[in-house]
Amino acid sequence: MTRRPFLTTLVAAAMALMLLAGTGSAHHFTYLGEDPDFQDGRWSGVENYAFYWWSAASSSLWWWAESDLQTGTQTAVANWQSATGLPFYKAPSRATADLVIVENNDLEAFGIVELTEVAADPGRDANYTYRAQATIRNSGEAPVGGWQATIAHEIGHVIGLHEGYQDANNEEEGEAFCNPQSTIMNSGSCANRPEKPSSLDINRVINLYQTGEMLNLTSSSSWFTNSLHVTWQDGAWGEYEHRLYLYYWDGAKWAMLDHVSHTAQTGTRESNWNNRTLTRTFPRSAYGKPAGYYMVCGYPLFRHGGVGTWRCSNYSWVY
Amino acid sequence: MKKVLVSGLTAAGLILTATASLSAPVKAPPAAPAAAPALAASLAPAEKLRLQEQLEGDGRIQALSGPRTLGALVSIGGRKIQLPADAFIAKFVVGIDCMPGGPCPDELPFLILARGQSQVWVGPRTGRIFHERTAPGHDQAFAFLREVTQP
Repeated sequence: MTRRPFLTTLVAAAMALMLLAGTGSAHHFTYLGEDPDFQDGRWSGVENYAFYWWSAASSSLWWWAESDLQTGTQTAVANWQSATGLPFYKAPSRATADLVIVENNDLEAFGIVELTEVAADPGRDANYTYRAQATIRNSGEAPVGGWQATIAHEIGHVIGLHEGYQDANNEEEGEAFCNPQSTIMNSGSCANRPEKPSSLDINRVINLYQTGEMLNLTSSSSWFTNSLHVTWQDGAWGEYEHRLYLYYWDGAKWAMLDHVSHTAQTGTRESNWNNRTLTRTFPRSAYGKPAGYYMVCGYPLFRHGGVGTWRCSNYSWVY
Repeated sequence: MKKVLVSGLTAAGLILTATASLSAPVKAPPAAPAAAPALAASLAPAEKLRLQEQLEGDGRIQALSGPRTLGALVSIGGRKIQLPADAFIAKFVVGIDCMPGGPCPDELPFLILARGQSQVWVGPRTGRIFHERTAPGHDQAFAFLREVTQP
């Protein structure tokens, strides 16, 4: 990708987001969607999905770290930044940082990341993360990949990645889940955690923030079923839903008939979890339209946020 | 006979499918609908500070942990419980890098509640206790959780 189109995309996306999400969510990126009881009482908590993040809006992250962790944080940030292009800034003070990184050698884990403050977002009837803090244990037994990897791991959470990319409920109780693929999001007790983000991590973030798409989106029709049959490859690394828009050619324009969310999440324990072929069928009778041309467009959907690249299928004649 | 009929219908269907676009009676439509919104934006430092001041001035910021949660009303295991005045949410944890042999909750988020020098790790959705460390002489520091938690 050349720089100019990328910048153009960024500007266009920023404008779209400002319109979509209001100024509040233009500030931060991680929506609190865990439990409605933890939503501010004024908001109903529609972003109620366990263990999922909504990463969107501002992709800038302002960090501040305690002195002993400065070097490791700078390296971890530089690795993320150079690989993904996400803008990270060192905050002038702890009070102005989005992510504060502190040391606590009494911590009974290599590291944790917590949400410390949330802000109400009327536009989404939900809260989003206003400030987060990562606490790093910086002595004793070192994690696989080293302490710097733990900082990179916690930053990974903040920018929207899950622990080991596991689904909810597919880990053993009380044990860290180790993804068989090399990923910084594996626990520090997993053998295959690298020192810095792996290609899996980088691709996933790029998918999240830039290029996630429905790959090979293709439509076809059958005389037998009078339906539009759509297939595509996940192309969004397994954890997204996809939003599909069904269009009908009315002779003058493409008219949208329906939009649906299609769950693409496969779980990392399936070998093809990040490249599964997905299908969806739209029976013409459901829409009361005559035979004609139909097509589907869509994009990966990361929990209520349209991210990635809009793609359209070929159009097909549906009898 | 039935098999032949099915095969014949299948073949006919395939032919019709393959030739659908050729035999369609309507002129083919033009390009696809325009793009949907993507994302990514960053704020200049001055914009960021201005927005921060605005949000804080509007009272839209809510603390999830720290001293401001002393005695807070929290939801654990589907029930509301009032923390004692000297207990608070020390951390609202959304990611953990577990140590071998250390506590490793499989429920996220989880809360670390603190009372004096004691702390307990509890899953708010299930009420499960993942880890508890009480200071000497304060074994009952979290007795107030018993009704809503499970070991």
